[in-house]
Amino acid sequence: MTDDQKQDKIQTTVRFIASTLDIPEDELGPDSSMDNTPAWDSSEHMNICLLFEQKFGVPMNMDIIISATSIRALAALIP
Amino acid sequence: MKAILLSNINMQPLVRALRPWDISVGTYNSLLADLSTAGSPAAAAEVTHVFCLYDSDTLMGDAFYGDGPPERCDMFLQALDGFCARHTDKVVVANLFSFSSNRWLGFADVLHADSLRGRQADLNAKLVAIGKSHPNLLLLDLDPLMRRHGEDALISNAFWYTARIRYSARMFELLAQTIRQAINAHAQRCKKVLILDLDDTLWGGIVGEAGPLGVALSEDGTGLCYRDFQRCIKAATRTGILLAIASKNNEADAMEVFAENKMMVLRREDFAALAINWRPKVENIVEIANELNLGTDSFVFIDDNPVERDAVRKALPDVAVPDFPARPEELATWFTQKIVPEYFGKYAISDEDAAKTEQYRANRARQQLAASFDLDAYLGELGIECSISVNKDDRLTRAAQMTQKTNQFNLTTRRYEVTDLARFVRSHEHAVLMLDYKDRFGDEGAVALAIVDLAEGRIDTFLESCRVIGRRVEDRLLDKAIELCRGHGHQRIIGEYIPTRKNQMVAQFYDSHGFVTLSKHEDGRITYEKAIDDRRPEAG
Repeated sequence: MTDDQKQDKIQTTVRFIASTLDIPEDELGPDSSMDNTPAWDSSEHMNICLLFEQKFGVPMNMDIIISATSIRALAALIP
Repeated sequence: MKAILLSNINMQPLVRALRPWDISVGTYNSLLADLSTAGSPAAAAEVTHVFCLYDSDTLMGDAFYGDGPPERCDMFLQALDGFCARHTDKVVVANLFSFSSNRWLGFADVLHADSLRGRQADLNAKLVAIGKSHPNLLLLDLDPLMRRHGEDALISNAFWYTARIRYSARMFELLAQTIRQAINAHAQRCKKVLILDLDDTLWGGIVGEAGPLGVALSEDGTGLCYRDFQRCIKAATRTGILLAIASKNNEADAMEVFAENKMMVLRREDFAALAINWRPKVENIVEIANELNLGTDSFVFIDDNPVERDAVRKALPDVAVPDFPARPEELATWFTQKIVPEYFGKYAISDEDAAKTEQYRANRARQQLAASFDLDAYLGELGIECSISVNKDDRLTRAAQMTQKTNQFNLTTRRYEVTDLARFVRSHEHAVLMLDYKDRFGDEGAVALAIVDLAEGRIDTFLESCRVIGRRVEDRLLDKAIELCRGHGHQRIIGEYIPTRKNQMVAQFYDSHGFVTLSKHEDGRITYEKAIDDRRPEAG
């Protein structure tokens, strides 16, 4: 994957997380995660994973749900 | 609306799917306590809707694996029954029992004494019995969703074992849509009239070219698609939908299909109004509205031609105009699964609903008679018989429906749900009066409604169906309202007129019935009063 493709996926993920959490996109960046984003709590994380699975067609499993808690980790899952 | 969501699993994602509704969530996994405890958040006065959406497998506990009886299911049924009885002013939405296909008995799940299939049927029989005794309980069957979309797409093991979330995002979307439609159906907010095109809509092909026997309508192939579509529409008339035709055709050509084609399921008499001519459909739809005395906001227009649909959408934005399926083989499924729940959903179907088309047909016969008699002679000729019931629990569904649907002859246009009316009846401070009408042309059922605040001696609601306007039956209902107020010691009765866009026809109602104006309010509302003491008996 080229750097441009990686960058696109990160941008796509930022847009997706912002709209799911109802927060402005500029409050998020490539390094945003559950740890540094107050609106991204454990309950919202479930919404994020449910909607991510539906929107990007990525089948979720327990390991992914538990570990994909950052923009980078989710972006890496986009096919 | 203020709703609370109770469950025995994690249903938090549904709150998002139901936005912008105001929904709080009950304590996790305390479904039974939330239903049974007097001080629980679900019991709070401001809560109008209680969503009780439980997971059947989980509620069974070990009984789901054949270990012991399903005690918690019975406890739940008892708790639900009690909650609905204590909170008749809240709408309670609960799903039917629906077990997943993880059946420990496998093929033996058919005959075995502990079969889940049997358990599900038994539990649902008990739940339906509870539903029949509480008009405020709205039971949802989610099995059709599972059958249509499949368990694999709607249930997620990954989310279940991570967070006790049973469903996928798709299921939460579908569930939210179903709940919205069901609540509308329960509150009787639905359309009344289905206006249909003919060529390539009710049958395949164009009658003007193919002739009455040449159109596609048969028991196989393409013809069967249209015949089944007609069967679905015919079934819908049994729930109270009125049918009308708006078709660009020679009327004689179209009528030949009704007369000669034995494959027609719909008959001429199934339609309450016909507009078959070459005029623009928009004009014809307006004419149908006048003929049926109904607003175009109660119409759904179905036509295969996108140009016609677009014209109607632009000129009559009140009319619902759904897109038409690209393929005839989709017609029956599309109509049953999309059109009916979206526009014509009903939770309880009354005898009046089933006889609706017949009533409109009888009305046409009455209009013909009216043309040849003066009013008194006409009314005498009709042989009118009215009866008035007061505070009858089994009529409240119909009464609520009348408050939701009546726009023209409606003095105050206050919309009530069945739960509101149940509260009125229980308070003993209100009387819900329903007038049933019949004459020599037919039985119209309930046609007029009054809600009287007996504590204040005030007529809160007074309305009449357009079907019987001009037959003076409203006078009998007003007499009864006056009699009840007098019985409660009132020496005067208060009436109100609240103007709307549609109820101009009753602006003078109280003036013409001996009431005097008490006050005119800035918002246009007028309050009236009339002396009703015994020394000046009211003749009506």
